[in-house]
Amino acid sequence: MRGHGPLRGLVHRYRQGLLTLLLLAVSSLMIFFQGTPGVAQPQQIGLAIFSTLEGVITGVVSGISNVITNWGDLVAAKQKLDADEAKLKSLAGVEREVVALTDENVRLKEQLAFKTATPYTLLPAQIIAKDPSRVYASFTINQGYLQGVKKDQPVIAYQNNIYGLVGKIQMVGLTTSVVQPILDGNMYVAARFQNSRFEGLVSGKGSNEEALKMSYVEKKAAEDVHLGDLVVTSGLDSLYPEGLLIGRVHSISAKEYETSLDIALEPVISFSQLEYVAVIQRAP
Amino acid sequence: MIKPLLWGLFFLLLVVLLQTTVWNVTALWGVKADLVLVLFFFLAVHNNVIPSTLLGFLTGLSIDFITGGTPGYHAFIFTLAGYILGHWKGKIFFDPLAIPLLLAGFATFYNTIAGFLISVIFHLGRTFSDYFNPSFFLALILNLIAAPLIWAIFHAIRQRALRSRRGGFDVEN
Repeated sequence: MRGHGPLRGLVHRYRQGLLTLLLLAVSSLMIFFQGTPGVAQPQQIGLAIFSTLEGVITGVVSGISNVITNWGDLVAAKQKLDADEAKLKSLAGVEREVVALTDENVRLKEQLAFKTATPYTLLPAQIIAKDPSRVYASFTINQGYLQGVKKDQPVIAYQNNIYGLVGKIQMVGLTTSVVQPILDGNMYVAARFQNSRFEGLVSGKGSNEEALKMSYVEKKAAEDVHLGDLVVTSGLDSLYPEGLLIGRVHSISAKEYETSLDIALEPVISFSQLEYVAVIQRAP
Repeated sequence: MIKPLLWGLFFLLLVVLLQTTVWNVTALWGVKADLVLVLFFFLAVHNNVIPSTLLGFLTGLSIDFITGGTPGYHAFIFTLAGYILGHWKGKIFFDPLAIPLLLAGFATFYNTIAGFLISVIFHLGRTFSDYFNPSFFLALILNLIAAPLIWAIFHAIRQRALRSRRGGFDVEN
């Protein structure tokens, strides 16, 4: 580096550290300015690219899975022909297909019943990808801007004959969107107990642990709140319609020096089993 | 430096996409092995500081794009990891089991501790229990189980790349 000046020599000597500091500074600025529209833009572009690729991979994998299944059926059919039992076996194959179609029909009917049973205008969606890390519990659905999805729209799901709050739309791509579930540590939902009507604030506990906490519940509610009581949205935050099921009381505790109760909730929705959700596009 | 960096990034992005889609079927109680983290650690200890740091930044940024979480969060964690691991190049003798296990364990602890510290420093609103909870230990176990497998695949691809002399992951600054 002779002849390039002392500054250039210094930069060259400490280039590893300087590059690292520069990249860490860029990362820090991104964290610091999160939520600023100008900064969020690249993330949305990234989402559009990655979610498209995720959609393709999901499609390819299910396609391969179908091919393997069909290949297995073909081999089985050939063996059955060789054994002079083709007719009987192919009927068995048809029967299997009918069973699969019946199962699918039941699931779709369930979703359809769900759509017609609720007073909301719903947009059904399939989950195509889940958060790769443990810290954020977000997931991607196959409906986006072109289907009329907007940021902050509530997302619900139908499971075990009840519909419950899943989360809200966090980011909207062209044909996909990212859902921030209520399990996320940064999610807050104004809520109340369905029976006793005491109000509080429900938030996630972060990570993929399926647990919620309810804060700011007055201590005098301790006598009226019981294990298993249902908690619903209060509608006070104007984001979620009133009366959506959130969870059931799992445990109640109260510290002497605090004025409110600590309540742990178990979500009514089993997030690890979630395949389909619905975006509330309009509430009555 | 560019070619191996691009190859490394290509593999990591492929694994990021696999982890968000196909790999979901392996999840236990919502927790799955962090393939990207473990693979990145293997890649970074085989590269010098600058490619490892750049690779860390780009990988972290990609994860930030996908998660929809705090932008820069993973970029920070992976950049710092790349810088640290880049200094370890040539100082670790890899066997098929013990070192991959140790590195995967270290990766899981580092990721969690760094995440917690970032959360505290930048006031991201996450608590200690958000990071150190039962799912952390489950993630640790799953990462340890996945590590030898990831190492075997990584090692095979790397050997093939080195043999063909068309690049590979080993580069000089």
